[in-house]
Amino acid sequence: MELDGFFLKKGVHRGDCSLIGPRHAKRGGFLMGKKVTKFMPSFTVTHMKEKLEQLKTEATSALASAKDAAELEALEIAYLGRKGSMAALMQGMAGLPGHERPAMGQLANEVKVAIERALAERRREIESEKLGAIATSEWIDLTAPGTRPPKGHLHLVTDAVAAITDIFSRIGFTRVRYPEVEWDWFAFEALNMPKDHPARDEWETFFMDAPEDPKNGKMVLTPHTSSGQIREMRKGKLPIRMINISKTYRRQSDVTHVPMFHQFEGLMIDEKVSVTHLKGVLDHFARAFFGAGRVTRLRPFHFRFTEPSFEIDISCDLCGGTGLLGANKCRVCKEGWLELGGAGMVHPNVLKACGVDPEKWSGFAFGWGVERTMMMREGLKIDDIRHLYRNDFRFLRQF
Amino acid sequence: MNLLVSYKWLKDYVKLKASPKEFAARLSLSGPSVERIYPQGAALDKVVVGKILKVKPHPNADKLRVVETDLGGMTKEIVCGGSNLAEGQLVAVALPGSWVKWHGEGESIEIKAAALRGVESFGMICGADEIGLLDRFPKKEEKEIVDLSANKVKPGTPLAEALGMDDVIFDVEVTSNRPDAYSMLGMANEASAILGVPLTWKPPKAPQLKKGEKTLPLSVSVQSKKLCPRYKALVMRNVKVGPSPEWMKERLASAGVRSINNLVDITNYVRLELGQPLHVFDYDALAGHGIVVREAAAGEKLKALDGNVYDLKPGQLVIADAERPVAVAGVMGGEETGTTEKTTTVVIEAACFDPVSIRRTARALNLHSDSSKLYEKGLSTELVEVALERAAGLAAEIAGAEVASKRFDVRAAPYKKLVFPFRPERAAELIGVSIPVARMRKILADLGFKVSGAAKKWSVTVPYWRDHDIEGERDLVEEVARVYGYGNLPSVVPAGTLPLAVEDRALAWEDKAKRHLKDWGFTELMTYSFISKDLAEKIGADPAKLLRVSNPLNEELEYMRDRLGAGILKVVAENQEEAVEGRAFELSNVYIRRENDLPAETARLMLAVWGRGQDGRYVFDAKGVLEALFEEFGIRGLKTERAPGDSVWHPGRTASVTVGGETLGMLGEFHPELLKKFGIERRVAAVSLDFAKLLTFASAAKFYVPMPAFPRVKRDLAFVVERHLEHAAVAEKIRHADPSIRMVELFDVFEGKNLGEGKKSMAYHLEFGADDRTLKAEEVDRVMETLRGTLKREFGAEARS
Repeated sequence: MELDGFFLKKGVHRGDCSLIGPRHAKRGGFLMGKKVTKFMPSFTVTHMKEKLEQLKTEATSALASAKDAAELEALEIAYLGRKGSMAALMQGMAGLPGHERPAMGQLANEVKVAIERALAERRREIESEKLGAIATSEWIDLTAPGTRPPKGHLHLVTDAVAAITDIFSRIGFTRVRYPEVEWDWFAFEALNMPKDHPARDEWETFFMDAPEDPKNGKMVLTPHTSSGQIREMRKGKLPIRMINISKTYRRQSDVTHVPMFHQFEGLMIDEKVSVTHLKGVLDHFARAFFGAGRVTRLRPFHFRFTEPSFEIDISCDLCGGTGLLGANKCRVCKEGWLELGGAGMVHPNVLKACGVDPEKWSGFAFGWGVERTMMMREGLKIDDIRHLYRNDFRFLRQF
Repeated sequence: MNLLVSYKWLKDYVKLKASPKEFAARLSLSGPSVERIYPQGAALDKVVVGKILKVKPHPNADKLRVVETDLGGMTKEIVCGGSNLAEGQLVAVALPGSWVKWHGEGESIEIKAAALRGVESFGMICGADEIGLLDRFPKKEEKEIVDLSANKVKPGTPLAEALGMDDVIFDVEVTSNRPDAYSMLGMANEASAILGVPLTWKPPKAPQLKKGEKTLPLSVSVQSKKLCPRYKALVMRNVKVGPSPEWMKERLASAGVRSINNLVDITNYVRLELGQPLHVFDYDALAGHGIVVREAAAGEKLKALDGNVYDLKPGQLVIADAERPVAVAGVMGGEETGTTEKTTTVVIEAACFDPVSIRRTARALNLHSDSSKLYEKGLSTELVEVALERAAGLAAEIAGAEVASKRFDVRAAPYKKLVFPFRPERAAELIGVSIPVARMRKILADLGFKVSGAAKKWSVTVPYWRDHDIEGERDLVEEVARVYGYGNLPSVVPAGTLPLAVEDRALAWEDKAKRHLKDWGFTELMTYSFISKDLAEKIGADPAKLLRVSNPLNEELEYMRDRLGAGILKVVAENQEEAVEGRAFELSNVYIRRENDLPAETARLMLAVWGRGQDGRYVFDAKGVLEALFEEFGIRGLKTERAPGDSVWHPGRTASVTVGGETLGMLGEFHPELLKKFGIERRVAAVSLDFAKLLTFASAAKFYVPMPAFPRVKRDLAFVVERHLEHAAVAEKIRHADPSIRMVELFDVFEGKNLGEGKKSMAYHLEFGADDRTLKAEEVDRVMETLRGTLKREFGAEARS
């Protein structure tokens, strides 16, 4: 907006002294303790310049020391209002020679902008001073505890089962669940362990006080999830990629054994499945579950239902794989290695027992303890597996 | 089963150059697994031979001495309480920085130079148990120290060096299918094939009957050839029973076997060396100089070498003389016919027994020996030959024995070698890499197999020592694969067609329920599936109807539970101080017995809320969770109907949970008397659900109902009624009072003296609406008026302003 036009349009009466300046400053005086000069219209260029400079100096200093919003508003009206000092001074413009007016108009504009800036700045300052006040009046202790949503806890095993399920589902293994109370035929016989075979001793089996089934033999608590292999294959749907997670039972209870625990059993049956695939799947799991820092190895072992059979070791987290803690042997591992669990290529006899042609199909299986595997995870150094089933809240609530 | 393998001993049979560490690693990755390595001298680092110069009294302790000891190049004072200290004696000194086992127990601790009762001691003079040498230096007295005076070595010599302890002992795990590897020779066979080094073992040379000497009479008959496929025996005379030579004692010690006398040691030594158990009878104690291998007769007894008398039963195989059993075959010999220091003539038995029979007998008698453990695994009939010759040779060598009979050899059938086909192509397919055919052939040959036949289909003959564990082509594939090395195989995540498998929906819903309950502040419990008789009865189950474990670990774990309550209440009882108020749940299978079938395994969910409040508040907490859970499960039409209660459930605070007329479970507070029985000083509310049944109603489907087009009018309604009037009845009445009533919500209930005895106040939020317009205030007023009238008429409700 052009200053000239503005003032002209307002139709200020030239030479009407009585109309210059804010009402309460008509005759000069004080506004809230600040001197507000009463400017008279002036008709010489020099004089007008002086007046403008004076107005600028005075207004900016007055605004800078305004105490609050009310004072600031009053000052705004006094200097920039319709009847304020600035307006009054501008009345003199008309009296100037025509060629002087543009320069003078520009100067006046600069002064006005300066005053406006000072006003805005002080307004901001007062605003933040106000905030400073609630900093005290509305202070709170942020070190006090937060208000929590209700906090529940999943059992560590539930967590581990979910993680395991997820890791295997990424490579196409679907979770299933099979009976915990099972016939001997499924738990042993079909797994290539005929009656009285010494291999059966490795599973400290619980027997049920129930009549024998003429075809399937005694009723037992599954000492492993491998019976799930038989159940899965006998469905007759090939190929197979399953992960069977279930409760299992063995007659033992000590620092590393509980009579009820969980196992996860993987089974893959397809055409031309080889040991390299078993390695691939186990490596996938180990990396995802334990992280990249741990190393695994495959050792030959013996199970009746797989051939070749392996045991999978993972480097020990406690001794860093050295097998030594000071001069003593590491308490938890064997020469730096922890046994993760067993695995192997499904024995042709097992395939046959399930009606799968071993000449066409091959596969691998592995069955590990969920608790054991979980306890080998970094950081979770539980010294007694029985803690998991004591249901002590001081334990459960840590997770 | 684990075997202690001396590296020095092993090197007698196979040319090994690998460092112990390398040997252990390579053996583990292709054969029996080395679990631990024990360098013999390692435990003796900084333990040296010292010479006692002077024994002085300790100024502050009667039982201690200050011993001036020459440690080679330095003389130091050591405080010691040894009972046999003597000047000039050579002793074992643990210098500062060495590790010893304090009194032979616990973990090793480090020795530091320290003051003992005010006298500075430079290390420790050791007892045998403190440095793990008790076998070599048996103690006669508690405070005895090792006396090394017999060893002529200089003071300062490291003890391990002084004792020639430069061996390394491996603790090796041998799998149960490989009894052949459970021996030094078996281990040598494995090492030879795996490390590619030659076997140097030679079959033993056997002593023969001296020319012109007469034989001693013996008869051998095997009546039960099925249980004893081969029996060999040999009589030897002029035996001098006495201590074994040092080399044998040392070897036995390295395998953890104590030396007894030369005869007993020979049987143990041959078992360790070749994996064949032996037995030695005193020839003169055998009635009729006869050996009969037969099943025991009913009522027969045997006093075994362990001193116990065993009752024998038919079906159990025994070795008998003309009159009585003299050994439980393959398990343990009898005391009366065992060798003694007076024995001069012996019968050495090397036999093969049926593994199943041995196993059954050992278990029935609860008598397990090193011998039965081996027989149970299944041994070859051909092993007895080499073992008998080895034993005879050793008896001649270290006991002066002379052959006094022919070799008796009774066998059920001539030996038939096992031969299996082997297709190299199929093997490569299963292993996943193409191993060169020549490599496969060499691996099999190194392990003792003989390969012949066509290029595509080999014919592989199994060596006798593997005739039990090799059962077919697949076993041969394993031999090739393991020696080739699993570490040399690539790791390949399988590609191929993914099976069209349908996920078990129960698993997904279980996960969902667990996650929600956790989010709602519940702690998940996992209690055993087993339950004691006592607990079962407490929780209202009939033990007679439960599935019972016939061999429980203890009576706490005797029955399979058919409900969850007991486990949770036990946990609440145990945790009531830690969790004065709390929430917990368990979602687990229970086992419902069925006739002639496996039990029904059904998932049940129980959630519990407890605390000190007596007013039934936890029931509403539990019910709220139930409602929220059903909402998350997309189940509509939840009804809770008052149930009578019983010994488990509170008679005034229990309801059944139903949907569409089907009962899914219970909601309520446990009976205070029941809680007392569990020792719970809290009130416990619970929801018990048949999770499997619940799932038949669960649905993940989402439904959309259009938002009301016209705003609803909200009003509150409060009134005073009888205390026993139920919300369900009131809400039902309100809801059906007028079609414009769209929402009824109880928001306040209270009782107070000002309301009158037996009265309560109920307050409802109501919403009114119409589908085609906004209701006018006057319309709603009219409905409210009618409603008040209805409630007054039906329930005697007095409106409150």
